[in-house]
Amino acid sequence: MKRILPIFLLLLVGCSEQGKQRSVEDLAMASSIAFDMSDEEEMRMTVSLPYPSTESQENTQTYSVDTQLIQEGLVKVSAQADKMVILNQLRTLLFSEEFARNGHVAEVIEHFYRNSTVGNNVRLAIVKERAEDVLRASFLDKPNTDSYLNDLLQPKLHTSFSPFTTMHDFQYTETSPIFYSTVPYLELKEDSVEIARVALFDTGKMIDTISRRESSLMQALKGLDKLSPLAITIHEDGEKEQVHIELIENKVNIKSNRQVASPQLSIELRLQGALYEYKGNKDLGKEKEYKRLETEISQRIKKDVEELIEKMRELEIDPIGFSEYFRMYYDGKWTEELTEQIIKSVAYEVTVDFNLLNTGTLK
Amino acid sequence: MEQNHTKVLNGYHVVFLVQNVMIGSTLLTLPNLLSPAGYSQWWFPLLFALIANLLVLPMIWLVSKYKEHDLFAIHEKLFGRWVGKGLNLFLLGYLIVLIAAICEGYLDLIQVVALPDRTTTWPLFLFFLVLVYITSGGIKSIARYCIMSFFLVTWIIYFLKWGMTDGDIRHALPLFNFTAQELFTATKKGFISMSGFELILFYFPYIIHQQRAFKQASLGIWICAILYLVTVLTSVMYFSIWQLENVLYPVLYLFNAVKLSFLERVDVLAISLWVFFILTTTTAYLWVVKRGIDSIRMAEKKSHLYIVATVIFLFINIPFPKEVQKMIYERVFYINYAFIIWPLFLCIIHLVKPAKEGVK
Repeated sequence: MKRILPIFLLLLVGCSEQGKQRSVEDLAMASSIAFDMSDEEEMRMTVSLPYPSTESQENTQTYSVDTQLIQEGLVKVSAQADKMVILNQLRTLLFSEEFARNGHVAEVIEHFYRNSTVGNNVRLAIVKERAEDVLRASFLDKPNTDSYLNDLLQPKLHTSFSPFTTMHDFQYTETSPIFYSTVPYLELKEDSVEIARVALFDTGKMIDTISRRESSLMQALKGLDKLSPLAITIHEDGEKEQVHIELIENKVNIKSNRQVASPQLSIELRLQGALYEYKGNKDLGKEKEYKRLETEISQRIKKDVEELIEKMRELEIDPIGFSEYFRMYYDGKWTEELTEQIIKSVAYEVTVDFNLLNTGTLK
Repeated sequence: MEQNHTKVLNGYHVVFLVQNVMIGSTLLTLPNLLSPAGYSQWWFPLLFALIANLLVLPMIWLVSKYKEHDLFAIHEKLFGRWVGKGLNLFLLGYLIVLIAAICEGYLDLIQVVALPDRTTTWPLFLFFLVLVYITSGGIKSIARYCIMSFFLVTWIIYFLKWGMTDGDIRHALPLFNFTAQELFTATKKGFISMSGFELILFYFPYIIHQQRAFKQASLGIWICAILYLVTVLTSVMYFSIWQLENVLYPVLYLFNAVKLSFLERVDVLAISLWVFFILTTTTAYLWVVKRGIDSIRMAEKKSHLYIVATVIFLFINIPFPKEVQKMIYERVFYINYAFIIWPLFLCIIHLVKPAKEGVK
């Protein structure tokens, strides 16, 4: 009896707790939340609640409320929905461009980051017009918008130009004096959502966007080792050549001279890819012309990289994190002023070495 | 199971007793505690292990002079019966508050992460039930439990992989760019993670091969330091300095980064499993408190254990105002530092004290 007593007590406690437990049927698990500007004071919060098994025609319910505080907004949504809204299954946060340009994203992220029921892998995206419209849109061939968005924002090879920013990534880049945040930028099409561009942030405010191509190079410079396919157009002697390269392996080697006063960087990109499509006059069967194409592609990418760096310099931001190559050797506290100083004054030298692996199974 | 002054602890027992008692709740907050040192914090566990290893030396030396006695008895022998008992009484008070602090720290976390919509009185009661059960088995049962929980829980270190791959190794370049003040603050706040090895002062008489105890204790300390090192290094790679300073439970967020197709919230799983580590820490301390009361009352009784457990349980449930509670618990950790250095003084007293007063 003495030995059984603890077990018995344990069971007893289990029973007494049972009554208080909330059952899953009473809960609505928010999976996406969209934020828009309502007016100066308030924001418009749209919460999408998927219902796994339901007799209604729609399997997702979407509620919008105007609110000043996020938690208050959730309470307001609960008051409309027939269930209690919880955040344990939150996957996607959408922000309208206007909302992001006004600098409210950082506040929202900090709120969710603090909340331990929200996982840190929640993905973020900026929407060109109203974020609410994306959640309310019905895509005929998709089971529901939430899982579509969730899948769209998961890292995949062909979309690896996108930074796929999670809540942790955003909080990390926002609070680090080195990095500047980048977030995928979505556009709502007629029957789909497209990761059209990439939004750039400076101290919590969205300031500009860059194209997918520029973003792809940015990912390459950040050290991503598999890049999304590249379409390259070369204008050589007035003739236009187009190439499409896939399966690009990337090795980046960046070295700094470690001097903050007169910063210098040598950036070396080594790319390897397979040619999938070619439009032009070269006979790629000939070794010489094949080599020439490689050099031309290298030069083209080099030019693009230099343009990208100049653009970042104009915007005075450092999303690639060049300053980290100076900070890692810097004895003392690194500040944002130092990052700005680096970006403004860094002298850089780019070398690109492109290696064409094959041209497919035909000669 | 346990009989007084019967030697029951073999080498494995000692290693795991030392290292598992050390890993308590502080590992969860360690990167945050060390944040004054910024990114340089990752090698602090090595420094701490070195200090701890040096501090074990006088402890082992002292107890090996009194092979059959624990610290309570040594106090009485060195300072005379009444002063010694007074000291022991103070020690007991400190240990009780310490156990309460460890339990409460963990419960706060459980409340935040796993049970946000319930009170923690019942879980705490269950926790104490298990705690008393393990402790009543004596030091060997505690040591066995340490070994078991080590193998049950340590595999979750695998989940740090995600944080490591997402992180940036460039943060970890040893720059040593902190001031002496920052070094001091980080050490002051972080060294608490090493406390626990000092309990060897109490279970030393139960060790079979006492001459090897130093080696075994050192091994325990370094296993623990390596676990700390991996965790802190991953945090340094994964977080920005702001996050290290502001995220209260960085390890929780590291587990949060895990992406598995079949398991969504690894952090909740990890935090719940952590109860094993908390149990090993508290059970060893509880055993010491029980031994202390035995020595003060000069009688070994099971009832002492139940009384102590009830006292601690009630102590935790006293609704102190938050600031008083924080103050008490912070002071306790300072006393802990004093206690770790204490054997050094005892060694000196032992040397100065003439041998005639019945000292062996």
